[in-house]
Amino acid sequence: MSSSKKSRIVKFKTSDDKTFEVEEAVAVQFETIKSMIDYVCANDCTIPLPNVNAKTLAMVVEWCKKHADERDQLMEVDVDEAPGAVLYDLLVAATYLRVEDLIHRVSQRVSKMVIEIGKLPEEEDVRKTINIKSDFPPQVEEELRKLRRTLGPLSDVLVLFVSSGLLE
Amino acid sequence: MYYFSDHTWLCFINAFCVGTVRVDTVHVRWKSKKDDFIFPFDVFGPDNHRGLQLRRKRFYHTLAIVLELEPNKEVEVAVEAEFLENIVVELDYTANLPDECLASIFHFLSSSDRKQCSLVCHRWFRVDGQNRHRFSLNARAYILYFLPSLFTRFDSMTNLALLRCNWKSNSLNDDALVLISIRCRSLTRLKLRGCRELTKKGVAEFAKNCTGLKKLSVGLCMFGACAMNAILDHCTALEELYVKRLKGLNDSADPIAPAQRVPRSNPSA
Repeated sequence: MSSSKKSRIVKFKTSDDKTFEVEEAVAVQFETIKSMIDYVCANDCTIPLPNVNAKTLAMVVEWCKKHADERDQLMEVDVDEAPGAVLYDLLVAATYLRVEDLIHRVSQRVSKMVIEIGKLPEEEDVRKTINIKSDFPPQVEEELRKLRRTLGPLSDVLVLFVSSGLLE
Repeated sequence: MYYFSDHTWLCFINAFCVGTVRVDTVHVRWKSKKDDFIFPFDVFGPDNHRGLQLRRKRFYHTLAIVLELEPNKEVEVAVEAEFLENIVVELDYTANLPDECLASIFHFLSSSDRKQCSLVCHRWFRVDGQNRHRFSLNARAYILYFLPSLFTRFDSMTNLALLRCNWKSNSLNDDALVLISIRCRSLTRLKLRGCRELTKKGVAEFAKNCTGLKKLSVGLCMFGACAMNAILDHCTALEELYVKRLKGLNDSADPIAPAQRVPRSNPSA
């Protein structure tokens, strides 16, 4: 960014009612916001972010800053260290603000978590770990268990069966 | 003993959820002496919007909790007081993720992990199906019966591989290929390996339907020169063509050559 031009400040209001002041250089990286920056700065508006809380926005802003400064270093550290709940928040925020690089980075990280879970034998374990309740009919679950016993791990046949069984 | 009505449940959740409470489903697990059980209930907000986080205070005032067991009815649940502190609130984080986020996560998973994940719940099943563009299938004869449901599930498929590892069983036939071409007109890449039952008739029909085909890879097939010509004639968007061990070339005297134009890459028959 050229230092001769005075950088403008874009104001955000997070879901927990905190006001956030973000430099324009960072705000332009939010695709959703990009087009409205001129209007917002001219009229001194605050952009409300209904599904991003202050903590998450701080993380996103920090990520964007570092990214702007050192383009080649994608700063893997703080995203990698973040625990699950923070990652999910971050992903929601990144999607809402449309920060493509961050979406990419975080979803890669979350998918690693899913793969770790996936090493466990069955999808039941995935459910337990992420607290998802199965909403498949019990007959399908029972069939699935039976087929798995006879055919071994997820085979083509199983996928075909499941496709036809669940769509009816 | 404490008896909870709908209203006290509300206060109760309010007291035990620290920080933000997420709309959708909240599970409250409760440990009693005999067994621990999870009591799921749905939370309906003024705007029942997925992914919206509500602060504790607002949650208390505006949301109504409907117990799953008896919706819209006052339910009395008895718990012994000393177990109250053992209540753990479990949240399903993925419930807040929009479908696109889930899809971008699935994007990084391998094929077998995706299969596993698609069996977790209906939503994951749906999201996986809608966002899968590449699919590899064992080309046995019986898959004909599953094709309609398969293409209903994976409705944005553009990249299909039909492979066969077992030589004793029958491969998929013309009907299946034609069905694929009808259900999946946006197919851009197709790989055929060892599909011996395919004839020139089926392939010609396929070529008429899937004109957007960009890449075709054929190995160990029997459909001969006529079928290849049909593909060259109809699939005008074709950019890459691999042909290996194609049999049945003696059936017709025609050479493999496009009728009007020259393809960008030459077939290496």
